[in-house]
Amino acid sequence: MSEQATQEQTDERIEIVSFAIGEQAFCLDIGHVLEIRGWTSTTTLPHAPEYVVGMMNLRGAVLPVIDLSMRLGLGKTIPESRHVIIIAHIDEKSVGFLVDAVSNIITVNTDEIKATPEVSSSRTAAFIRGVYTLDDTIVRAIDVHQIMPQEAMSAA
Amino acid sequence: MMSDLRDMFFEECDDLLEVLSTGLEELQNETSDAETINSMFRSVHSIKGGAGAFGLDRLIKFAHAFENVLDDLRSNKIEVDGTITALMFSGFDHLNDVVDAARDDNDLPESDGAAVLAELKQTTQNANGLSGDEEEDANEVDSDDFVVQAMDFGLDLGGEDDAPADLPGLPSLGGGAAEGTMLFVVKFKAETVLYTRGHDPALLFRALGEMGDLSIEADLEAVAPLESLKDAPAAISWTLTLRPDDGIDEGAIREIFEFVEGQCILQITEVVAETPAGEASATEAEVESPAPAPVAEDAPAVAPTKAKTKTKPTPAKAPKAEKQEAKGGDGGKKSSEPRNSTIRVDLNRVDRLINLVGELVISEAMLRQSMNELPVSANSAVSEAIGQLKTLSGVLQESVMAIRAQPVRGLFQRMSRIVRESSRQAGKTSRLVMVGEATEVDKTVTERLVEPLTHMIRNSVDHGLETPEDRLAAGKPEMGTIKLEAAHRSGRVVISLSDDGAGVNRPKVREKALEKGIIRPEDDLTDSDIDNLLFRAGFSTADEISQLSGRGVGMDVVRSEIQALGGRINLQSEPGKGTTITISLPLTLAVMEGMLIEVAGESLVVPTVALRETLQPGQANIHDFCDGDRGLSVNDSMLPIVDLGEALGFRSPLPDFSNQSLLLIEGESGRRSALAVDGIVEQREVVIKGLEHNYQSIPGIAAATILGNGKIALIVDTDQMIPSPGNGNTGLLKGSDMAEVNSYV
Repeated sequence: MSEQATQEQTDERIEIVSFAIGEQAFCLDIGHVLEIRGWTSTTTLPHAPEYVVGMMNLRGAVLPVIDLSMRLGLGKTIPESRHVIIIAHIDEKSVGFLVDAVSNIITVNTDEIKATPEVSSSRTAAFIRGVYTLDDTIVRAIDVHQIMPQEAMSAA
Repeated sequence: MMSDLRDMFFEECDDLLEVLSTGLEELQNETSDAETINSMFRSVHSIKGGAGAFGLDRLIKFAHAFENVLDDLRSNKIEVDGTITALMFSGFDHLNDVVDAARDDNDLPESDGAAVLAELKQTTQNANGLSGDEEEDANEVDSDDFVVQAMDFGLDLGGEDDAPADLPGLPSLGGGAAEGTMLFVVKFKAETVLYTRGHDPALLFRALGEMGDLSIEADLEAVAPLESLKDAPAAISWTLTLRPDDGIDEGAIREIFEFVEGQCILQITEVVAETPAGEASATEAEVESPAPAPVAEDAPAVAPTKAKTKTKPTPAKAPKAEKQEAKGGDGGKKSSEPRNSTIRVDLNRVDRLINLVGELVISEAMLRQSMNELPVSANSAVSEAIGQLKTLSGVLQESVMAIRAQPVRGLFQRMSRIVRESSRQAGKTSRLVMVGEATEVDKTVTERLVEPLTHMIRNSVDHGLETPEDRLAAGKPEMGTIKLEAAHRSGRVVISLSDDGAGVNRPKVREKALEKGIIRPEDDLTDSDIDNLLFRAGFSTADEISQLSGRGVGMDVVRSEIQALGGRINLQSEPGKGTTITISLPLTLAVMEGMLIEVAGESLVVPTVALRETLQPGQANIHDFCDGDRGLSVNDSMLPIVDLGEALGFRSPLPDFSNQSLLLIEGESGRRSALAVDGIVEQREVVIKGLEHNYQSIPGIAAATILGNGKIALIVDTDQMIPSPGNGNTGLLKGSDMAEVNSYV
């Protein structure tokens, strides 16, 4: 029995990529991450939500770059060379997330995730799936499907 | 596995139907010869064979009836005449339907094609003097036949033609034994274990073939039908007849099979051949293997295999059909012209390749740019190498693009069916003449041309051609001619559709346009203006809405579809002589000609296809209106000016346009406007990159491209930059204060 339980636990171990935006730590399931690149300049998109920085050229593919800080309501990032773009593949789309720095790749158990505190911000509720506690740090797990630009928001 | 084979079968069907269609055209144009009918027969036969393997009964039945008629044709029991050709065309159309239905797993109503089927059967009966009962028997489909045939589709994908299954027993063609020569007859049956240990009978046979003239015959009787075929147990046995070279004895032969001892059943018999020798047969077992010469009684006769037995790992093949052809010409084998060898490739792979090459070209441009900035430009070796790289990558890009190109033949042949059907429905007789079917166009373009061309052809038959009585009265031949022509012209593909009908009835068009409020009575229109009114939305001249066309969604839809492909459409008409509609298309959808411009520090591309004129700062005659609206007077008319930077939300409205360049653009509606931009850089070819794939569509933007410096430039959607009448804005004109504009209108 106990052996089986252990087996189950190992099955649910996943790797996450943790990264920093300002003072806060966030993470993505590594399965979504294609690669990590330094900041490159982007082409501004007309009529785009403010959190869409622009389009970047990734070896011939054209993909949008999202300012995660802006998207999460943490203020606009003024991109410079120290910033990092995480290229992720989510719901059949490729997207770049502009973040301050990538910290680590960590193995966690999926059942270690704790519910997001019941805070008033609907943004927190929508974009944060839960939190992992690693050492003394709280790492916020991002709901990648919600964080993608939503079609309806375009022209507004 | 099975579904892969099935897909492959249907792909083959498309090719076979194309061959059939080409044959039909030749029949109709009386340019056919014996080989035409042979190749048509083979196509239908192969379809039937494949259908047998997949249990597509409806298809088998129809193909069988069709095949019988073709068989009678090639044996001259039936003469080719107009009736037969017409029947063939109906048969071909129905065969298409049945194949499509089988592909999509649809059930065709039983009544569909019943008449054609009956007529085909009747034709065969008449030709052969068969009673109905016998004919039914003839239609009984011998499943064994098809199981063997199935091998051709399943395992011999190389596209080699199969020998028809109903050939008479294979003739013994020059057996390869001189009178009185010693022959060794080797009976060889591999056990399963032989294969699992990695032996290959082909290698053994090849070794045997080096000892003299070898003929091989495989016995496939024990092979299970394809549906239940497993890789084990091994089922094939072979009879090998060797006319040994000098000094070869039984021991030498046994030595070859030494390695597989105990893994096969081996029986070697020495016989004396009685028949005169034919020409020397091949020395390599795989190359050719005529049926064995009649050998002595103690070599058990093996049932002649009907199909080519390229069943892996069977190395043997039935006699090559060239011999049959040489013998009678009715054996049905390869056409005399050499086959182009082709492979089937997943389109995604090609697109990936195209993308990568596009990248290469961009990297090359970047490299060149940085080279130019270096002080060491004196180094001629490097610049020479870079020059070569540029040439090579250019050639590479062209070649890769060519992979996607396909002849328009398939598209045109689909259209010939539309002509037949719509002529029948409209009670007119007409024929389609095709010119330049070999012209190659991007696959996506041909696919997206199907709908507009179908509509155009229906229109030509319905509205263009006169009724037979009117034609005769006008001194024209009763049969109308519709001509479909394709050609490459200055980097574009031009497809034109012409009919020899009455031409556009201009007074009627004008009257209709007035009635629908498309034009005003005082409008002074040239003939060409009137003709092109046909492309306006909501225009339809047919007095009654016919089944064929005239739903009023006609030519304007055609026009917008063509424009969506980056093409232009134009109509020319001569009263009493006919109408010609010309479509000009880019060679590929992946590359576009565009004007690189600058607005608010961003680089943008305006498609050249929409561009009419450019005006440098100061050249333009600009007039101010309310709320900063401006108009440009051109040839006595006033065009709205759209500030591109403002429309795209890049900046607030400019106080004055005196430093702006203006681009005159024309949209698909035929309306024009002027785009105000900061600067015009150059005209260039750009590789189109869609935005929807990774993001979403953006108002005012059609797509993106990557420039030589690696930066992305957006491609402007010109149609969205043209204010539509009545509703004076596009939703983009005023950028941020769009809502406000709405309230003014």
